[in-house]
Amino acid sequence: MSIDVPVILTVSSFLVFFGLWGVLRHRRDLMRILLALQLIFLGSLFNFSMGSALFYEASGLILSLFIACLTGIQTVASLALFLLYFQKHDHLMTDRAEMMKG
Amino acid sequence: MYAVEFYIFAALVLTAAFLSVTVRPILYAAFCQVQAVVAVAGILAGLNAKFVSFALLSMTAASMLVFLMFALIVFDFHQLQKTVPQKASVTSLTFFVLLCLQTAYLFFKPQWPIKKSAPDFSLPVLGNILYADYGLCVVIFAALVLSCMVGISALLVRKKKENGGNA
Repeated sequence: MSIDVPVILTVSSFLVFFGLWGVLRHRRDLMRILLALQLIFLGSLFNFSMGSALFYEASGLILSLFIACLTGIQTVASLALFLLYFQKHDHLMTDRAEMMKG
Repeated sequence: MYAVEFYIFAALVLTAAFLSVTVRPILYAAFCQVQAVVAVAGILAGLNAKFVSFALLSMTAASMLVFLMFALIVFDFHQLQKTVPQKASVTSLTFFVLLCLQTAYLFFKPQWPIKKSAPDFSLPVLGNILYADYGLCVVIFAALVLSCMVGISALLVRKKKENGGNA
């Protein structure tokens, strides 16, 4: 039994698939969309890290660090924007967000 | 038999990701997400990339704390009372034990050999590559984080002033 490339690709593709599924399934709720987007980022991070370990190259881990950093920025920035939106409209439903200003 | 541990962690990641999409209350979805990230961090630690795994854990902890604070602001507690399952304590205990086991694994587990000996992903090696080959990326990301922080603070302060509060 060994850790092969197809297994790694399968796991990361399933993570990305779950993320996309979450975005489509909860497309009316902004916070659930945010959680699903984090799953997509986690899938790409997993892919880069495992590729880095498989091919003996540290660049994948550097990219993983950048992806983790980007995920944190994305979460905090979007939550701050959601908070502003919630204070104004008292909901976070995307199908009622047609009144957003640019 | 090192691959068995990888498969266990991969199964944990996929199960937690599936649950975070399908479970109904958003707080439980956030907890499942934490479980998935901790399992990925366990895999990274097993691959001798402990610094990246701790960076991932700390960033996830920070973002999840902000997420939970926000969820507490917008939560409907009456709906929460209705959606709490009967065996909530057993489920939360199981998740807690799993998280403890995986965190303990981060400290005590040696690296996994994939084909030959795993490469050196220690902090000095990563730091050397980060600042020698990826210096421009580091500067761009630092500028991105800084502008993001300044932008969010400016937005929140302006909103406070509009509401008549003391900024």
